[in-house]
Amino acid sequence: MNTKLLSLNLASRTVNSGSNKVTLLDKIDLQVNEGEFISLMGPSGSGKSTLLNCIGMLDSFTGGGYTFLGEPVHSMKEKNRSKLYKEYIGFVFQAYHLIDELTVLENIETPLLYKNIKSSERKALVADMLDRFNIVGKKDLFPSQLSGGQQQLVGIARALISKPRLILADEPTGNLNSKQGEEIMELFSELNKEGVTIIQATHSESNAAYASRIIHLLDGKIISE
Amino acid sequence: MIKNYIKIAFRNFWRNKLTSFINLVGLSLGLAACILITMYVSHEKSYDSFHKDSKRIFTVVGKFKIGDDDIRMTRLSSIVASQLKENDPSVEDAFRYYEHNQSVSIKTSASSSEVFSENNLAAADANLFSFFSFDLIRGNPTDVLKTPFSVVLTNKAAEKYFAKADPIGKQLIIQQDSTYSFTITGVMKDFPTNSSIQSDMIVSMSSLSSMKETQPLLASERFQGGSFATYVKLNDLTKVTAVANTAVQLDKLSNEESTTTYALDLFTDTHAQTANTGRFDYLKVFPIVALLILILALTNYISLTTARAGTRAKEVGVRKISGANRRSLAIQFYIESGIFVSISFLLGIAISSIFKDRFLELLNIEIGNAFFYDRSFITALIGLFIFAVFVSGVYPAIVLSSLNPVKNFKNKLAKNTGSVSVRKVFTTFQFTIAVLLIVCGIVMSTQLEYMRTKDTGLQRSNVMMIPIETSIATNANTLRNKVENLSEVAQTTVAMNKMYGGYNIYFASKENSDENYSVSTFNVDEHFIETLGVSWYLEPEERTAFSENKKVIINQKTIDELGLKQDPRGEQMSFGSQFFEIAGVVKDFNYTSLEVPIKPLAFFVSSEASANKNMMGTFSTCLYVKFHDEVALSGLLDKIENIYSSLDETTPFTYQFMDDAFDTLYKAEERLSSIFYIFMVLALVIASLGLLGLITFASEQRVKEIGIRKVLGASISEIVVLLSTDFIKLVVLAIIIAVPLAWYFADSWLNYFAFRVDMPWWSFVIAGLIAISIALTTVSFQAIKAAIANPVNSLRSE
Repeated sequence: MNTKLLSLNLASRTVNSGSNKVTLLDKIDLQVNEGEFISLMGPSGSGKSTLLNCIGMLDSFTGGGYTFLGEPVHSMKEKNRSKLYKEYIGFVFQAYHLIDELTVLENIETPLLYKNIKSSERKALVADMLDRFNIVGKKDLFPSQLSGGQQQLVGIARALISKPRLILADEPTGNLNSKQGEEIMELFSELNKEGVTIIQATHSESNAAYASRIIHLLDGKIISE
Repeated sequence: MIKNYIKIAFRNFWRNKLTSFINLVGLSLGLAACILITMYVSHEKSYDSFHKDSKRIFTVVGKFKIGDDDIRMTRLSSIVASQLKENDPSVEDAFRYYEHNQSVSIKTSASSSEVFSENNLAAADANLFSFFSFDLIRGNPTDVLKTPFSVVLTNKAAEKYFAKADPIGKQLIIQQDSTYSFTITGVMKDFPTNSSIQSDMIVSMSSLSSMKETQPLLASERFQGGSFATYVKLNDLTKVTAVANTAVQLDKLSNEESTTTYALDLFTDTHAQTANTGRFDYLKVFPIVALLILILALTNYISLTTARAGTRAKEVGVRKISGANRRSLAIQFYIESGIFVSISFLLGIAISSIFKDRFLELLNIEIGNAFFYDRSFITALIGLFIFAVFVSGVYPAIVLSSLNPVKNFKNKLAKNTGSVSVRKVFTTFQFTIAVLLIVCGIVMSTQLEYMRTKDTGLQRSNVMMIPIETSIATNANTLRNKVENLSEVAQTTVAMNKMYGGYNIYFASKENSDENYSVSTFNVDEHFIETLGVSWYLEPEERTAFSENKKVIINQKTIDELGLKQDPRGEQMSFGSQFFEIAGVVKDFNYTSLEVPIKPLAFFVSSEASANKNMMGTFSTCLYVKFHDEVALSGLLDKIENIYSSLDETTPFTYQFMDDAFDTLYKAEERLSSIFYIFMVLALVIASLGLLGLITFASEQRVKEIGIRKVLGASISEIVVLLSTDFIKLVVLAIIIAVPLAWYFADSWLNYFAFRVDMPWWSFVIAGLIAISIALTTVSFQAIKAAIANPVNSLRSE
């Protein structure tokens, strides 16, 4: 269980805003082993989301090194990078980001479509997932017909369907009430016990406590662990 | 995967009902217009291409020059075909076709009282069915036209004469000066509408030499111009010029001094060459206009799709994170466009088939049903479809698939400033086209009105023209007297031709000069000039003298062109080999369409008595009847018809009013302008639909801004102005761009007319006003709706 999943070595991200150079992430050093459950905490603008996006390879660090499963991401081409995250990373968002025009079942199925998985196999995988999250009865509903908690369940199901090694969750409970939030956190703990590595950004102390490791960020720097 | 795309495409259409509706209506209308024009254009272009050997069939054309005029002879003497075949091994086969342009009377039996008048009689060589690919339904293709007095009917004619009965072996009695009995040997399918050879009944070529009326046509033993359209089929396509040279040599052999050259024109090109000589080529304009309309409709689709890019951005982001790459997203948007275009295309086909007949009526052409299964038409439609799918999909596919997921999530609604300016360009473009078409439409109708009402130097109202055929024989005199004695009739006159229905051309020169000029000539009687109100420029010294033999009356233009004396009376002019003395000069008047400048003209005048005796009854002529103002026309017509029918039982009575004949000259322009009006309305509808979509979207996007402004105290009218100004600016810009373009196009169209209006500057004002008021109506409709909405609702929703 102590395989190294990813490591950040003095990773930074700066952007130009007008004539100012803004440092979003400042020389982050971070090792993540497989099977960890990490919470990123910090006030708005401290760089939690940016760090998640960069780890998820949706954004890139502008300086320093980033190694994922032994591969140097910082020197990879865009194409290989996206291959990597499609293969190993699942995303969960605060605003769920389900496709409004697709049903629950179709939303969960979408990542499999892009992996060119056969129809019969897709059906089996989606059915398992629906079963596991207890949303079989909702499979033909559209996102707008679900409560927030249910939508987030679908979001997580969609993130899990391609069997990622790492789940990145950006404020997964931010739009939910505390009971729904708790349920989602319970689910994360369960997944973590099954071996999925999870990194979540959160404001809530109680949610952060589900994690095995809490990292505090301020102004783009890690201030404590 | 594809299923997923299709599903989401339909759900998207459904969710954005207004946009989808606008897109669908606009695109279907645009496509319908395109389909109709594709039909027309591909029909025109497909002329004669259905023959199996169409690529090897050529029309033989003779060419020579007189003065500055190039003369094209498409009818050659009867021996040309056989001589070419005998003397040039590259000529595999040759064929002659003769159109009998006079009407003949036909009965199904000698005793039958029912007489039909047939205008479309033709004669063809026996190899008609092997040379071309026409379908013979009954009869043996190699035999039907072999023997004299055999005739092949088209299906249509067979039905007309024999209804359901079997026509084979039956007789048709064809009456000209004498009566001939033809045996029906075959029935063929009607000629396809895209065939330049058209007839209802075809007699064997050998019949012509057996009938005294047509014998002279075959008399010429020389290789020269004549009466027969002559076609050759080559077995070696590299020998086209060689065969033309053979023709030149054969011509030289029969007449050493001949300067005629010959050319072989590909048969499939012949129609386009004869249909459009010297006229404005509408076949080139229509596809351009159709394309503009289509692009107009497609830009609607593109701009409305990309306008919704913001709302689709989230989906693109999610799909990218789920593993979609740009290619699969581009495919997805292409499929969406594809579905959309397919639906519109089907609707377009439905709409175009509803308006097909009306459209063809406007164009005054006929398109047979068989053509719709023709390969050229189907190919053109498929091409149109692919083009529409490609264009509609390309921009959304590029823009939407390039959206960056992180940015999209962050800003929720990507503002996509790039595509905003693209949409502005589109709107400007659309209104530019609309204004352009409006101006062209106005200019056309102004020119038409000008031509219809211009003083042409000829009084064409209250004049009736009655064709008089030779069948009236010696009764002509009686006819004219009786008609002239009617109280309603003011005056009558006789001429060889109907006015606006053609004239002869002579090559004339002034005394002591070899230089030839082409001069239009009219053979008329002494009352002609007075009856039609032509004014004198230099009156003949003696009023009666001009109808004497060897005298001629010319127009002013002849003086200028030939360089005659300012008062040329008494001077001699030669026409062909004969000399005539100029008796008087008339002021220039338009004797043909106003498209053409007035050319030198000469009247050969006969006295009334001589005209009645030597013109009427001897040749096909025309009796002009000038009647008084405010007479009861139907009564007059009845009286004249009664007189006529009692004197000529063979040829049915027909007539035409001279002002109608004049208006008919502009049928093509009239058709064009009505089609332009349709296009103009279409363009406006499509452009304002697009504008409606954009303003709706813009007000949705700015709903929060509008709410905040209202809370801060903005009035409804201020908000309406805020929302509308952007769009109205674009329309004004469109007008500014359209004006020079419209000026250029309209002016070059007007230049096809020798007599034209000045560019009507007010057409720009009107076009601009129409565009702005339509845009304002569209925009303010939505803007007001957005402005009066309660800000509480819009702000709460955020």
